[in-house]
Amino acid sequence: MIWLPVLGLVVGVAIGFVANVTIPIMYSSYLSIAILAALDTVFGGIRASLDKTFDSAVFLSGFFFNTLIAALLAYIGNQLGVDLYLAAVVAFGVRLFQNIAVIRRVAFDRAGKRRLKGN
Amino acid sequence: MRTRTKLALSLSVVSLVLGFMVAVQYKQQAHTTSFSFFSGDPQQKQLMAELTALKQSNSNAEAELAALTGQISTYEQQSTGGNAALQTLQQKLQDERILAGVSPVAGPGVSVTLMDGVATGNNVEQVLTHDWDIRSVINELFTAGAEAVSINGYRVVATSGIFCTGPVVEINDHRIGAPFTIYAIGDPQALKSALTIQGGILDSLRQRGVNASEPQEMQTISMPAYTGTIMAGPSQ
Repeated sequence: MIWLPVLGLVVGVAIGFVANVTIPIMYSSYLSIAILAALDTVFGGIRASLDKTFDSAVFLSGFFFNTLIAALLAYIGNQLGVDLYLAAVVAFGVRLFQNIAVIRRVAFDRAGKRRLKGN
Repeated sequence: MRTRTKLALSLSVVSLVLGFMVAVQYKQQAHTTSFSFFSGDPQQKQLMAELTALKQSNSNAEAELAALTGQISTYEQQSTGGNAALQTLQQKLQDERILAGVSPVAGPGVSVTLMDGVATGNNVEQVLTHDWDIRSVINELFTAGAEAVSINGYRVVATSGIFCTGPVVEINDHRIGAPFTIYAIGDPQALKSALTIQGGILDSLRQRGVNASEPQEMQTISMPAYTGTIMAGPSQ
């Protein structure tokens, strides 16, 4: 069951490589922002599951919504001549690191407890 | 247990989409970076071919011009015949042409080569051979009585510009890079001593780290004529 997401990732990468999908170069920056947003959501989801506050509806809607909004924000910024994508990069980047840090801490906590139990 | 199933399922869906996006972006990125090299882009190839053809025809035209100039001077010499006054005039004209750089010339002189030095740390700017270094060397040579000077085979005339265009130096609208081999025709000893004088131009270049060769006295140097247009005034 745990390996299902990893399998999904592998399948997704395979589809992406095999399928002849190309995005016009001008939109490729939006895709990269969307990827960042998606990564952020994934790590947010993992963290929530470790905190036992995971809600699949929130997670799924957050994933697609964040991804779209990030791309949209970058697009609007491009139209206005404001580097709004930087805001998205900073916001998502900071959250990404925070989430990873929390996940790491929780993992260490659990490992510590298990060791205590073992003793 | 149901939450765990849900978690696994939604994570799978999301990671599927994420993987897809990452793969597409990765492919895109690899595609974009390969653009900057000379890839199989047909338009770029065609432009390169056109450029090569133009350069070729340009150099052909220059060779033709040089041949025609040679013919003209032979005709001129023939037309003077035995007239002494005309011959003197002809000789004067020839001398002036050599000084102006519009006729090929051969004679004794010196050669010196300027190479970029090897940078150690942050002093890249210092050890590069700049346009003003070449100008200084050439001015020194002319001051010492050089009658003709060429840089990497391009004759320096009164209207020659020597200036920096990015990583290379532009001389007579030709872009050349280091090493710069400078030939000067004139009294070899005078020219050599002008360059090698203590605290002179070569000394100061070497002190900065530029790799300047020792000037070599040469018995015969032949130089091509200047083939560009000579313009007076600021008209372009």
